[in-house]
Formats: sequence, structure tokens, C-alpha cells
Amino acid sequence: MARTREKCRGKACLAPTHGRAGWRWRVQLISLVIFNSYFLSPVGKYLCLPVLNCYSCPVGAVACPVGSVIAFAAVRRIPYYVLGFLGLMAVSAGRAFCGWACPFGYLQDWLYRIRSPKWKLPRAADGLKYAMLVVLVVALPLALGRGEAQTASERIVQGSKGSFDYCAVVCPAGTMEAALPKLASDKEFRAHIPLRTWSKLAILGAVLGLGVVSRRSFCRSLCPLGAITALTSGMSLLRLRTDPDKCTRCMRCAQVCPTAGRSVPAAAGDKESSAECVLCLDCVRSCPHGGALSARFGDRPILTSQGARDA
Amino acid sequence: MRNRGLILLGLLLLVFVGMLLYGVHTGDALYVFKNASNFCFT
Repeated sequence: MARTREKCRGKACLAPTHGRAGWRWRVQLISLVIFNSYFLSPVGKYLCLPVLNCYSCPVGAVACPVGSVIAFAAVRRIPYYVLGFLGLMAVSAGRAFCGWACPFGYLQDWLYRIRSPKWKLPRAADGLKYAMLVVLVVALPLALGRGEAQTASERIVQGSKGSFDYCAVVCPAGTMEAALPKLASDKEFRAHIPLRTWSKLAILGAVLGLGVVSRRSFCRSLCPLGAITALTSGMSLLRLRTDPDKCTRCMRCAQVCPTAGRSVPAAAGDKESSAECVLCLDCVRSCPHGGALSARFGDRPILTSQGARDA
Repeated sequence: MRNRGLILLGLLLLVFVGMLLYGVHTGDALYVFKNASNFCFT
């Protein structure tokens, strides 16, 4: 941990993402395996967990909420089931799924560990994901959908004939987990790669490249699921709480925040974080003042800062 | 104040559970499953 801090001093990579106890990366790794365990799909594909993991992937085991919302929008039905599911997840864990379980978030955490010049994404970029949600997940599928039931396969196959939604034109997780295996396994497809696939490959490359230089840049700026979870983050039972008597406002927590979402409250009752907080709890682990910062589920503390153990 | 927050959260939970069950009743859950069960490649 101390070595990590030393190594990253003066750069943007201050966070002990996988430091000390390493609980988070273990949970992320286990989630990655579970969400891509094909044998779980008979049950898993009923579950719209708020994680970005393409359900068109040959081994994908859970239903993608973004793809599901698009499918409902295309048939002009309100996705009660998906919204109910996402609402329950939002109340129980807020954006913790982004920080602890999302496979694409996990990939970005690893990418950011690659040695390179680091760059902070401007705050204005955070708004882009809401535009993605409104335009590419709701409005265009509603406008261009034919009002007929379509499977993901049909929708994306028809995508080459005019559908224009997030899965069909942007989603880098879909490109990585579905298009790349297709390219690897289908000789004919490889010989005649459609223009749209090329553009999606370019988007994937850009997202991965940006992930190396800017931490969690995709989650903050382009993920429509991040937009949904950000909009509902205020209702989470899981949240941060600062003890104003112990906090010295050293801002260490804000420095290690991967999404620049931590806002240190000046007084009791002030906002602890913005909607960008993915509840990774790096701030709690990094806080140099014992008991100053804690993560609570309701009123019950689940993790409290231990102070400068390795300072 | 705290009680009001908890009551609000409880109501929200009820709404979400209601939406989920309504979705199961109308076949949305099955639609989600079928939609997610097609291995396609973009």
C-alpha cells in the first residue's frame, strides 16, 4: 500500500484500487466469472443486474438492463420488470454495483494501472452519458422500433438495416464480448466486416485507450447504465458518512476518488458525494483519520476508516 | 426526519417490488429472458 502511494505520488493514480485487503478486486473478479458463467444463464438471464456485461456474449449469464430497456422501447412497452429490478438494486446498493461488480468497470480499473501519462476527465463530460441514455436507449429505439417483439439477435441483425441504438452503434462491451468472438470464429464475417462493426471497433479502441489515461472515463461519460444508476443513487441505503469532529478536511478521500465524485462536507448534513460516486470505498480505506469516514447501510456502519496505518 | 426518510424508502421499495411483480405477471420477465438468450454477434 505504502509502495503504491509512493509509486503514484504526484500523478492522478493515487487510489489504492486493489490495495491492502484487496477485497474489491476479489469481488470484481468473482463477479466477472459469475456473470460470464454460461451454465447460470437459465436463471441469470431473468436478472437485470446493473452491470455492463453483454448478453450476446456466448458465455454471458445475465440480462443487460440497457439492452432490455432498448428491446422494450422498440416494442413501445414500459419495462416495469427492468425498472423494478433496477430500483430494488438502487435502493439496496446504489452505485456499488459499478464499483464492485461491473466487469467493464473492472477492466477499466486494470487499464488505469498501465503506466502512462494520466489525465483528469473534465466534469462537463459527465453529462454525456445522460444524452446516451435519452437518445440512444430510449428516444431512437422508440422512434425507429417497429412495435414488434424482437429478440436481441433480430434487433442487432436488423441493426445493419437501419436500427440505431446504443447496443447497435456504441456499446464497447458488446463489441468486446460479442463482435470480437464473432470476428475470431466466423471467416465469412471477417472477410466482409460491415462499416458499423468497424466504427464499433474504433469506439472500443478509443474507450480502452481513454481508460488507460483517465480513470473510469467510460463509466463517467458514456455508460447509459451509469446514467440510470447515477439518477437513482440518491435513494441508496448504502452511503458515506463523515464525522465532522474527526475529519480535518485533508481531502485525501477526494484525491483517491476514481470518479471525482467525493465532496467533503463542510458541515453535518452536507452532501457527501455526487451522483458519480460508485461506492468503491477507496476513500474510506485511504482516510488517514480513524473513524472520520465510514460507509453505512442505513444507520449501521459497515466500514470505518482506520487511520494512517501505513503512513 | 429520519423516520420520514425510512418511510419514504419503504414506500419506494414497495413500488419497485410492485413493478417487478407486475412485470412478471405481464410476461415482461420472460421477454427479458428470451431477449437475452440469443447469442448474436454485432
